[in-house]
Amino acid sequence: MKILGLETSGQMAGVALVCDGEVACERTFAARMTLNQRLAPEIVELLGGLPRDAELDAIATGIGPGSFTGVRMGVALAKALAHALELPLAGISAPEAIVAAIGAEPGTGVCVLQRARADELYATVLSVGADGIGQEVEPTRVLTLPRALRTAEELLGRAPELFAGDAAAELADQIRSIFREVAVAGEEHQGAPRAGQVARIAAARPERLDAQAAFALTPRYVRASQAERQFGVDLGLRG
Amino acid sequence: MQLSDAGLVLGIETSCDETAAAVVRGGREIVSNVVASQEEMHAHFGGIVPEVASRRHAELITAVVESALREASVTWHDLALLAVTRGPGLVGSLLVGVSAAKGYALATGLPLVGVNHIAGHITSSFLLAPGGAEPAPQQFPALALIASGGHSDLALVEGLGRYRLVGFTRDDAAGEALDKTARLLGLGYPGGPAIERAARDGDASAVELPRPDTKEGFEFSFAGLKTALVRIVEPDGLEHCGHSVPDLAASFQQAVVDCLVREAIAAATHFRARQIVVAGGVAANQRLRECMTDAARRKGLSSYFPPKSLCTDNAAMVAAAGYFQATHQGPQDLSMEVDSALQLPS
Ligand SMILES: [Zn+2]
Repeated sequence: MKILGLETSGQMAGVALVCDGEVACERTFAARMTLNQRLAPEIVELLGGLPRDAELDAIATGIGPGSFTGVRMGVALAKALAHALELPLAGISAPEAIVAAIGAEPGTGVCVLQRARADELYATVLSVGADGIGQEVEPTRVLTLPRALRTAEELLGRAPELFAGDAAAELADQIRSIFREVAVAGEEHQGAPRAGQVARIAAARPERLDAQAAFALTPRYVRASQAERQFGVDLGLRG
Repeated sequence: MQLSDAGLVLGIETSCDETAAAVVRGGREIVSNVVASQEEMHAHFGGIVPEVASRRHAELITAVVESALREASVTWHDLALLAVTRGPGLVGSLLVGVSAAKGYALATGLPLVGVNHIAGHITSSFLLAPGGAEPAPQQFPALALIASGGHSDLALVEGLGRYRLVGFTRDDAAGEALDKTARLLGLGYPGGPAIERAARDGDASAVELPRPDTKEGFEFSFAGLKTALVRIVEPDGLEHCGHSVPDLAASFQQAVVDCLVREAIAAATHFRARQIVVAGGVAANQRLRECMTDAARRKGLSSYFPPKSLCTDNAAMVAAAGYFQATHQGPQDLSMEVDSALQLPS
């Protein structure tokens, strides 16, 4: 099975091809300002031609949380590809991709912390399965660090064994002042989601591939837009 | 590049608050034209919220494209070209449409062009809608007025796909001035239709308002006009300013219309245009239609207004503009950028 993976939610974007569950090829590039310019040509480079000639079986794309605009560009392009190629599509969250890169022991409770805005974090608690891929215990919430730590403990019924994500590496000292023994995955490649992991998760979880996602997939924004909050209107555009 | 007279173009438009897709044959004949309007949604906020617009585009884009293909009864194999708006507009909204268009180009191998939204509006006058009115005759040069919430431009139309910017607004767009005034008069959003409704029961000569003239080129300025109205309304409040809301609405609408007509006629005369074509959301305004038609006739010019569904943002105009752009300039590559401030060549 050949799956094309896209990841556009962070500072570094990427495209990857997974064949039979293994990352066959991956290209990573700085997304800042140039994502629109580079994303489609990077896919052509990766596949050595157009996706229609690459005999793909499925597409997987990162849905965030992360850069709103970045995620939307990846999601829009992936949906169009899946639509015109009539391929199933999977939306993989950034925390799932981050955890998959670590290869933690089965049963590990992981709390992924990503920078949101000001002192707020995107907090996602996952439990690692037998194949090293994390299952979200609950969808991402926007929380401050103290509340994120408390929530992680409540959701798992114990302290998480591992913290991951860009904000976890930054806040390692503060996290350890609460949970003394905890491990923090801090290396750069574990702090950000990667396209290879996005596609690998879709390969390991074929039930996530959805023929209707070309039309139905939406980014994960976690919260309503500023305007909706300000006006007290909920348009259900939260993903 | 060579495109046949029967070449089918898929157009995609997401520059503002309409998610739209359409199929057009030969740059002239509308085969399908699907618009998912976000107007009701943005009415909650009294205006367009860029983040909300972008979210909605990302949610709807593929479903809207699928509807356009289905209504046209065509498949990807039948198409000759993809066209997408690459500016001007809201950058986050443009990026959704352009990303989707690139995805379609990757998937189908079809050539892609990034279209100027204003060129789209101009082209809408020459489109043949199924069962619709006759489009504007192909008499060139023509003078185009594009007036909407985002733009007030004058363009010289030398032929289909050959447009030159000859006038613009120094400050607010005409539709923007109408939106702001509707808010001031408590008439709600969108402002243009609200002002037009209120103005029906008003006297357009009741309130004395200026007709700002920059005297330079064919430039508009609507900020002063709006300020003049604020000076009348604000000291004692709307209820005690001595004028009724219908009179204020009618007088303001007339002042905007007079400015648009004056510059359009002046430019048409200067460039010896053979006709005037009007497009953009404000072109749906009945008062503008009457006054422009009258003024043009007095100069011996014909004027053309597209049907209302083609005045507001749509993707048929993008598909058609894309057809002519590709014919003259060829397709673009997959690194094509968006440009929120894109202008017509001058
Ligand atoms: Zn427009």
